Amino acid sequence: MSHETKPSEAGGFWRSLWRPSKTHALGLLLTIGIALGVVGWGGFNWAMELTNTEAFCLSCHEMKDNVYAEFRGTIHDTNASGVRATCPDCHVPKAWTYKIVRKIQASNELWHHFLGTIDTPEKFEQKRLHLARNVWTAMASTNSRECRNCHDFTSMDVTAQRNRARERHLEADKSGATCIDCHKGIAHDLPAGIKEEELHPKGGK
Amino acid sequence: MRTLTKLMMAIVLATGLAAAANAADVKGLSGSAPTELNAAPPVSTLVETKKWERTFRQQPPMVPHQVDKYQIDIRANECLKCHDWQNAAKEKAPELSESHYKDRDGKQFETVYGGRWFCTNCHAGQTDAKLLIENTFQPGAGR
Repeated sequence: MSHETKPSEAGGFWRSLWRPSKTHALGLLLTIGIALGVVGWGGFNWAMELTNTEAFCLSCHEMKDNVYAEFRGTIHDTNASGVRATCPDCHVPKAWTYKIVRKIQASNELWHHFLGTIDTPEKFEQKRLHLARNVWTAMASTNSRECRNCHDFTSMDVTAQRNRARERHLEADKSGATCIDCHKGIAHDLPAGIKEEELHPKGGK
Repeated sequence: MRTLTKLMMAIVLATGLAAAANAADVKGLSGSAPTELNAAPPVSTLVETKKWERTFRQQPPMVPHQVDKYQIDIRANECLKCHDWQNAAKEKAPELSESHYKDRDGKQFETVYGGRWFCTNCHAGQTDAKLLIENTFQPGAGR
């Protein structure tokens, strides 16, 4: 085993990675390492954020022509205050770990985009109930985490709400119901074939 | 020949002028000429605090809450979430009258009859909208 590293030697660079540096100061190596780390990590998150924009979602016609067309005009698209929720605000978690998990799941969506699973309105309509249920299940299982990024029971002033809304929200808070239990079909059309019990929170009321 | 051409030109011009004058005279029911764009009506507000009485006996009751975002189409009808007979009691909402579960021949159905599906065709929101034209309707004596 030679102690010399020859640059010309095949695999010399890779082998040198495993040995202490003879020629470069530790400080220099650390500085370069940290700089590369910052750029690499920042670049990764920057690229991920690029996929977290409405414009990115709408670059697929499946999103633009179906779900986005329905989203237009809903309360999350246009309202008195002009505050808007875009696709990722509801469909991608904010917390980093959950976000990464969701992004990995999204590779399945890419796969089906290229397969053309819902590339016509008819195919989308066939899948609508199934796809909607996927989202409802996900939202119910996280206690509507993405809704609550903005709509938090603790900061909700029920006295400012209309009578019907106030009664329901107080009831829901007590019974532990989650947003999506009642608020289905508020940002996209309800699918045909939805069951009556899916429109009401579990536990009767 | 030349006089004939002049005469014809004069006639065409006169007809055109008359037509233009007439167009300005014609008024639509809203008071503006049909060629003009109507001014947007003032924004009306929804009255949610109380239920309005019916103006005449057969009037479809008006809706004392917002419905503009409700989906009523071939896939779903969000009004039924509360007003269908199965939900009305527990949602403390007015129940659809039995007539909505019958077809034109009086045949009874479990679910809302298709011809009654589009609620907002008859049931309008309670808005304080001002009349665009005068309305002289009077309910019958029986009301």
